[in-house]
Amino acid sequence: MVPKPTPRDGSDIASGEALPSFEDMLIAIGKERNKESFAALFDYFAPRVKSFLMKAGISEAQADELAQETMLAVWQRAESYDPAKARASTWIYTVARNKRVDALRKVKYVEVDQDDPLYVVEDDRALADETLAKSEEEEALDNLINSLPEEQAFLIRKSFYEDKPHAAIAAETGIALGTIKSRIRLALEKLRGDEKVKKLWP
Amino acid sequence: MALDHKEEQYGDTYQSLLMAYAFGVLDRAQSLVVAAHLTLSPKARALTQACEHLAGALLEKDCPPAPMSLSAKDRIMAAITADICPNKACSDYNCQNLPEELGNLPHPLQEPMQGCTSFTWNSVGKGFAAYDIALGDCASKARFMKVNPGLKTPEHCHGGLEITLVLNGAVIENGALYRRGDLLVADETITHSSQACPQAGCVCMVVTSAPIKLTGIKSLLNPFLNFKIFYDCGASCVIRSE
Repeated sequence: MVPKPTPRDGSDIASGEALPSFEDMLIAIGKERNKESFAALFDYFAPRVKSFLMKAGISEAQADELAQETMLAVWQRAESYDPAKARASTWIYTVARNKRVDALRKVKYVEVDQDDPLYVVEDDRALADETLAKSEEEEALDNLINSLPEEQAFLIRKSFYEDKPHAAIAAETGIALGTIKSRIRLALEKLRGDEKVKKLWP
Repeated sequence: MALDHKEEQYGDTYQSLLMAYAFGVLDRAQSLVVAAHLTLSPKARALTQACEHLAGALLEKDCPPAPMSLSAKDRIMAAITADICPNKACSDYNCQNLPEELGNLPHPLQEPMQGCTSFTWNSVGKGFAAYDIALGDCASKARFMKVNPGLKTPEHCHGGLEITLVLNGAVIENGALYRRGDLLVADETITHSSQACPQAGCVCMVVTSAPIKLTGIKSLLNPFLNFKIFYDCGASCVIRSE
């Protein structure tokens, strides 16, 4: 019996009911083929994936199609989702990103193959046994982009939405390439340096 | 004098490149060399995964939802009932006839080399040999390079991006030693010179990308395709035809 999935807007906190997180929903899909969970994920993520795709210049019709394909792939691969390795939104993002690369460049996104015998595994580092409380995690990540200076956030957003390498952004905006790179590095360092976020990211 | 393995890896250009990979904006040749590097470097993977986490947060909290078409949800709910579970693609590459000095290739590099029936190094100068990797329609060019021990490229800079993955031996650049699995990246803001390790020489994969050429307002990605690097008796010059 799975609790009724609702968006994470906190409106049900007072009732004391444990809300399934998006991570819980993905796990429920992977383990039990839970359609209610999938419907909730679809309602929340499909429109966001569609918007993400359209911002890269993909037509509305094609973006709608690709967003559907993304959610279908989420259903099909949910069994392989590992909450210890990624948040739900991160995992769903990678599926959407791969669809975008397919569509825009007609080539498959080049993944790293974990089954490659040459794959070098991480050091045996104690993976955060003290995991953050879910709400702290979310708050940390939610504030990430908003805590950056505007000039850094602008570049991160542009890289994220517009399918352009940094040299193209430099050419378009007139911002020197060196400046763009250093702002991105500063942003990434700030994000990774945040105490709460450190626990999420190695 | 022992050379330390340098932490240049966390420089601007390197971090930006890995973020570009995580955001899916690199072309095929660039993606192959970065994915190969990530296979061999857990630290590099940590950085790209951090970028993916950021991207996930942006997807969730920054993308204004665009309503789906009316029939979309019904279509998908019907499709999932059919419970399709496609098998994971088996990455079984048949790469034979590759020279020993290339070392074992990470899977991303085996894919374009599958069809290779006879591999020969082509001399591009005294002590420099290359093999151009056929990638079809791709703006960037990729090649394997083999450089004899101690040979240097003179100081140069690039109109575009140059990414080098060390596969065998070692490369010395700006006082730092780069070994198998290490990635060097340079762009137009960087002037550099590199040397093949005096003991073992080096074998690398090098991906070069033409400069971005802007024509008109907001026009982008008009790379010119005739970008060659010639090595002539140890000297390197960049020849561009406009």
